Amino acid sequence: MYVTAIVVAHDGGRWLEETLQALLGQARQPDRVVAADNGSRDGSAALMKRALGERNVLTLPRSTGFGEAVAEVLDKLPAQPDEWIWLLHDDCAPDRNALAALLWAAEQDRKAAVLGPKLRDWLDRRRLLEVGVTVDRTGRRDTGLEPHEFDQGQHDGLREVLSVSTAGMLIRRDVWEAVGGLDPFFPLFRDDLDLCWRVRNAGHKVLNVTAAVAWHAEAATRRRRRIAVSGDHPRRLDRRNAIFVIMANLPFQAMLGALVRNVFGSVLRTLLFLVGKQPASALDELVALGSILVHPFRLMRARRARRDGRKKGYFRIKNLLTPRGAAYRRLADMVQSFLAGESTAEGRHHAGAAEDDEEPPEDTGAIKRFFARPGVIMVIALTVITLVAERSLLGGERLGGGALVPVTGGAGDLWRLYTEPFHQAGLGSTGWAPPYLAVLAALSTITLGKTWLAVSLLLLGSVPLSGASAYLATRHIIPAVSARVWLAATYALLPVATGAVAAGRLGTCVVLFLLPIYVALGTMLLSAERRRARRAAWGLGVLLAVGTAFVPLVYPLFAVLGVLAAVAFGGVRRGVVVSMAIALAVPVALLLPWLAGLVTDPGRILLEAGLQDPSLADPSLAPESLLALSPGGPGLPPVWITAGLIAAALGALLVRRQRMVVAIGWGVALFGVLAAILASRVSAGGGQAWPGVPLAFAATGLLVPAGLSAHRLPGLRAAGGLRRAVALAVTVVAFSTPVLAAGYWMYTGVRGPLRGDAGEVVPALAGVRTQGERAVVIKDHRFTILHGTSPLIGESELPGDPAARARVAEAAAGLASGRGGKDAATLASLGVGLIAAAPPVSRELAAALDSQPSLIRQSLSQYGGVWRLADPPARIQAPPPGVLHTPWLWTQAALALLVLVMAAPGRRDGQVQEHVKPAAPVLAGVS
Amino acid sequence: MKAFVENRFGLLALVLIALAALYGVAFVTRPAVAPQRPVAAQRVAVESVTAVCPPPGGANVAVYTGGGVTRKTVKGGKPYIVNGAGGLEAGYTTRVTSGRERGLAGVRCAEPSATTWLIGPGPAEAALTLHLTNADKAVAFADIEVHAAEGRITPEQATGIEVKPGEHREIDLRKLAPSADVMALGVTTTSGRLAVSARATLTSGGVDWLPAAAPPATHVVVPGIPGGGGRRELLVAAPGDTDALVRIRAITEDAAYATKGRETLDVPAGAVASLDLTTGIGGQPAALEITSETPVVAGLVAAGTGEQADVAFTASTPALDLGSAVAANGKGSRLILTAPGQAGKVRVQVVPSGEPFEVAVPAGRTKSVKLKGAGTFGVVITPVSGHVYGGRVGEERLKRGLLLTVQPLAPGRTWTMRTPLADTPSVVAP
Repeated sequence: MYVTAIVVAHDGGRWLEETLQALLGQARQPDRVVAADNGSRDGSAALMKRALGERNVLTLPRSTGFGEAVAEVLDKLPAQPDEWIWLLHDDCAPDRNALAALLWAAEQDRKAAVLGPKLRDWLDRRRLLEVGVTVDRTGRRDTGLEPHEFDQGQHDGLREVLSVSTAGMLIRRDVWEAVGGLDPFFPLFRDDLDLCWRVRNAGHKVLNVTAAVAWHAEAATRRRRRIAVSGDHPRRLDRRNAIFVIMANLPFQAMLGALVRNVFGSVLRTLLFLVGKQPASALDELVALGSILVHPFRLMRARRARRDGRKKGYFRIKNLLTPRGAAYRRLADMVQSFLAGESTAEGRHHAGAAEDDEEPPEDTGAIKRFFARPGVIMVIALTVITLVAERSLLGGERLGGGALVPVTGGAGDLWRLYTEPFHQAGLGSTGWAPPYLAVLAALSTITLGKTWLAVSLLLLGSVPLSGASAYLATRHIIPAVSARVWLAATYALLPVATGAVAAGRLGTCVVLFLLPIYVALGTMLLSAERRRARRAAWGLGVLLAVGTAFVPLVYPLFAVLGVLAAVAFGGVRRGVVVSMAIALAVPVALLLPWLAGLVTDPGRILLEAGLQDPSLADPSLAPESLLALSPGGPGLPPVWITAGLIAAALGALLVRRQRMVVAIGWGVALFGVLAAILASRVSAGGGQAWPGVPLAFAATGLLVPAGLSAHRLPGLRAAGGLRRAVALAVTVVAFSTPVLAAGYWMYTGVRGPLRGDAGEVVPALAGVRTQGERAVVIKDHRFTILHGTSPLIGESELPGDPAARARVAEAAAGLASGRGGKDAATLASLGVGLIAAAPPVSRELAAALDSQPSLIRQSLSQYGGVWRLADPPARIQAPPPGVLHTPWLWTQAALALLVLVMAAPGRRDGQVQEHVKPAAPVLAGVS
Repeated sequence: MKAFVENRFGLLALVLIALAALYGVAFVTRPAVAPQRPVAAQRVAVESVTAVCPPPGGANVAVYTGGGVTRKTVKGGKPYIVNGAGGLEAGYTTRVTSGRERGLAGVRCAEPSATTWLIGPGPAEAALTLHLTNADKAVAFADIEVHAAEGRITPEQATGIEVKPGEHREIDLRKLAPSADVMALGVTTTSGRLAVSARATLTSGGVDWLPAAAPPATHVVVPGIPGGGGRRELLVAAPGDTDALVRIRAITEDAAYATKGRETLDVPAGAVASLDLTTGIGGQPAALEITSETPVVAGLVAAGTGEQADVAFTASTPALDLGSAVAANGKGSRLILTAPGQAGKVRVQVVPSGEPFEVAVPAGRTKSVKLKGAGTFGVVITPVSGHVYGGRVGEERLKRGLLLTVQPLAPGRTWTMRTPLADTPSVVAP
């Protein structure tokens, strides 16, 4: 066997010396050693000439590729019988026995035409780089190794692979010449794969010989060497070549499949890149695919050149390609390791987990660890408390009551209500549906279209959810775990929270969940590194929009604090003002048309999503209630229950450290209480404002400094004596609030107006066939107008024509009095076709309605009464939709998407991207 | 200043001051608790009224509208339907001085409604004809609930009676309950409305129309019991499913008392009980106040004196809170007004001629007022204060016996109470 070793160098001076020493120190010396220098500027040529001799070094222009360089060298060398070529990169140092091992393997298997060594990392000498490479059908490169995997012999053995790297590749010269060498179409990336594929198709074997080891610096991949080939788009080139190699070498049918996979895969990846805020990668992905698709003839030429043996060899190659399920398995692995709390980057063979045998069984350990976390225990406890307290609400057919419209319909109905230009609800409305409907519709879509499930989770699960959010959101602010548990439990069981559940205040429940996240994001906005701060600003903006959609008061409350913070921090930190402006502008942009309507009726800013029932709020709330964070209304614990929290927060004022944070917290608390006083003293249009959300702000302001100051307690306790008693007393007092609140809540249960078995308002109405006419529903001395049997959530908040509704009120009262006359005609002209009386129907009402010649009774029973107007009602024609309606909805969707993308965490800095891992070194540059 | 900021208690003092200030603000701005005022019902004018008179057969139908009384002789066997503005009242009185039909019979033209209650003698005692008229554009289906002394009777023919628009049906009640000597009828429609009247001709002599009784209630007043001799028989029906123990209080011109030895009456569920009060009232103009735990319907049969006795019926009726009117009154008409509770006052006007005058009724007393008018005249009663119940009695003394008719003062159709309805979506909350 005659071996010609060829070293190709390109600005590789850093590694070249060691490479040459390794080459020359081989146990089995190659018979010929030649080198090519592709116009190096760092003295590589001189180095090689010194080591190998002047005549053995060929100097080539700088633009030459690796394949071309090898071809040039071979041109100058006459062929020898049974000649093998050993290709080496300038940054690839073979082990002393590498060549011997390769040759030994070649002797064992005479069909092997290409052999490659096991590649390890140049610097981290134990790390595995490659033991043969394969691809899947989308061209994704697969080494079969985990990232950062250490070589412990776990992959050792002589085996057939699809391809080996050109670094250290031993190839038979006659085969090289028969298949035409490396394709110059691939100056870099995937040239080795293409070569090996062709060699295989020619009927030879490609082997990886792990007994041979080479250390490879992968200088090009790791940007230790400038890549200047083909412009500055190595990623794009890599993708293009990957797809091209696959498409050129697969037989026709498999190629079609691969084409479809690639198109869909590329589109999906493009989207993921966009979401990950890597527009450049997205562009690369698209352009790479595009450049394949717009040059079909180039592909056809390449396919024609590879026609021989392609189909015949495919059945063997098929087994070497990455199996089809690999992508799903990879995804499953990722999810599994994420759930188990492991970093995805870590592998089983990583240095830290080197001793496999000593690891405990993974599953039980991970689950045990998960459930032993204090936060998880707290959330489970809160869930149990909630289930006990809400025993009266669970298992009912329909949740409703208080401020919550009994939940009907699915996600589709909510989307329709949100997007339709003309709402048939009520007397018909062209106004904008409240945007919280979109949020609810999105959540319902996630819960498979079940609105009741989404609402139940938000409302009934409010306490554990807000506890979890408070616990997680404060993890960067308050280091002490026990303080965070106290904080989260206290926050979750605030009087506002239990009151909101009892009164069915979905809006407050959502805001309670979001408030801790506001705090976390606000802190990040003010203090984090600039890019993260900006991301936090977008996130804060979108969550603020969600909160504002449910409870408009959130926005002004936050805006005041935000502007103050921007003024205070603006001079100290760059970008804070812009970030705060983003956070405050996003809600305005997202909620624009609805918000404009709100501004014209400022009283509604104080109200929240849902029904406005004056009995749900205390019109004359006591001052001590306000100071004790008790918002009034149903479902509240005694006023003194928050005494522990307030005492703890007052105690925090005495701690000498972190006085600034304590002062800010108390400032927020006082501001919240002031806002609560104002809100509770103003009776807004249509209802009495409930000061729940401002009091939740105030409570958040108290909790953070109190939790922060808790770190003093261990010190006090350690001091012993009186101080120890003080620490104990403070702990007991502070924990009294959540413990008492939980106990009281569980003891009384939810008795409030919220019910789990809220039925139809007029069950009899469901039995009457309606043809799209409206029904006036009378209950006691109140009425409303329904379109259909029961209203969707949010329908009651559509703006209507007050004059028309006043006419309906007049006419309905007239009918209920039995005065005769034109009342029925008035109702019919407004599209009302039915009068329904909610059970129990009083005899007077039934008699009065019966006495009207213009009404025909449809039914009267314990399920209510329904009368139909004798004359058919007028059909309300939907006015032509506004010109701006649909465009604005699309704009809103686009805006929401944009903001979400901006807020989403992007690529982590310093993380190696898997998909951009060029296989071959770059030895050429474009000058 | 620096010392203050660095002082351990500085912040605490500041916060406490701020809290005190907030308490002050909240205390000062706390609004007084406004008592929840119930929604006040307003009196509104009735805008349109339909009155359906059972076939007058040549009688002189008097129609009172806000302006005055018009009279028209209507012949034929068809019901006479009057449509008009609010305040419309119609009726007629027939006077026959000999034969089987001898007697004064007055009828108030009924307004179509879904429920009508009638109480009086049964087919065993009298020939009873039920008139059902559908004056609407929609077909009506009626069920007749029949209660007799032995309990509720459910004859087959009594359910699902179809009355087409404009149709008039006469039903001989003998077919429904041939053997009942007293009966209460509840005519309810499952759909549509019917104007219901019933005429009774007693086999023992005497004729009159049965006035519509107030629907079953736990407190009812039977007003307009004429003074003088003759049998007075109270009928009480308990249409519900529970037995009723009825307490009866008689209110006469100079006393109000529980009738001696007859303070209570047991009415089995679904049955009609009768009680002879001839001696209990003692020949005085009176009203009966009836209270019971279970809802009841009450009426009274009053017989005239003389060789050939006439008969008259009255029934429980609501108070005159919204005023009342009787269109057809003749000579010898009087009003019998009763204030069972507090003292009351009403204004009475005879139309077309006559000055309005006020009548004060002392608490727990009955007052009889003679109406002076020429020919057939109308009378309008307007409430001034208190809750007053009343009936109009028509009497004519003939040699062979007193002619008698009674009409309880049913609520007029001039006014109605309209409770404002608040427009609020919270109706949909349970």
